[in-house]
Amino acid sequence: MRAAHVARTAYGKLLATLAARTGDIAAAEDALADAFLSALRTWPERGVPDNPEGWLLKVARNRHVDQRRKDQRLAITDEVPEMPDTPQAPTLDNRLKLMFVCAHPAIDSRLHTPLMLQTVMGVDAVDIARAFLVPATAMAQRLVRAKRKIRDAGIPFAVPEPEQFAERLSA
Amino acid sequence: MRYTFLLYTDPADLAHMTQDDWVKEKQVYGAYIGALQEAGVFIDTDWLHPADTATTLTLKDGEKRVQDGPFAETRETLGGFFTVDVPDLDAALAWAEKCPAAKTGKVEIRASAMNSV
Repeated sequence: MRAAHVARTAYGKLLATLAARTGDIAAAEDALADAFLSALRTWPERGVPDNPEGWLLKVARNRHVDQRRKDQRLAITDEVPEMPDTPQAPTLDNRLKLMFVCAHPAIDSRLHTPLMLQTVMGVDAVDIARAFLVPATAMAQRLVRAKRKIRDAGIPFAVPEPEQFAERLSA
Repeated sequence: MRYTFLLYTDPADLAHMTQDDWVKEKQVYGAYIGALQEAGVFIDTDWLHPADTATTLTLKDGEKRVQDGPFAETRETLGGFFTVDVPDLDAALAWAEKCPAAKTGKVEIRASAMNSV
């Protein structure tokens, strides 16, 4: 199934691109999950779009804007611009930014790899917990807390300066 | 985004300070404040009287209690704070690292929660 193939190869790129805009990984995960559900519902009938990743990104962004309007907790500081007609693939840069976020010193170092597995690779929290020999609920809670910290403490979605690589990559 | 640095030091680590030491320390902090102001990130700061002059008030358990002394957890006690306005946590960390208190104690960094509810 085409959606499943896109899911495996593009999940990390799509999530990184979505999360980079707001710093809220959990909200991006929810929006992306909704987008994939939409794809599973509509693609079998209407066919797979020419640019499936662009389609998923657009739907996820609209979901995200709708959710923020409902929440009304965050001020909408910028309107979502009209998506261009020409397909724009999410870039590798955003995945790299997401990886550096997951490995930030302000995050408990034991969570760096689990976070990367979940967000960049799309691995299920249950599978991550099993791999790290940690109860599933404990791992799920730690991941939720880490993503909340990333959002609330303002950890930036950016590749650090080269001078900082040694310091940041040793974590 | 607003960030607040809460400065903690163990009074035992400051016990050796003479009057001259305090004058010099005040100048060191003045320089740090100047740097923050020049960068346009400075919001506020204060130098608090020592912890043993503090008063603690609580309304917990529905009863008002006024106590002499600080809320104590570890050896370090609150000695001051800085409030800065910087784009993200990395910028806040960079400034906190330059704070003189980082040398003798801890600097706790917390983002403002004002706009999250």
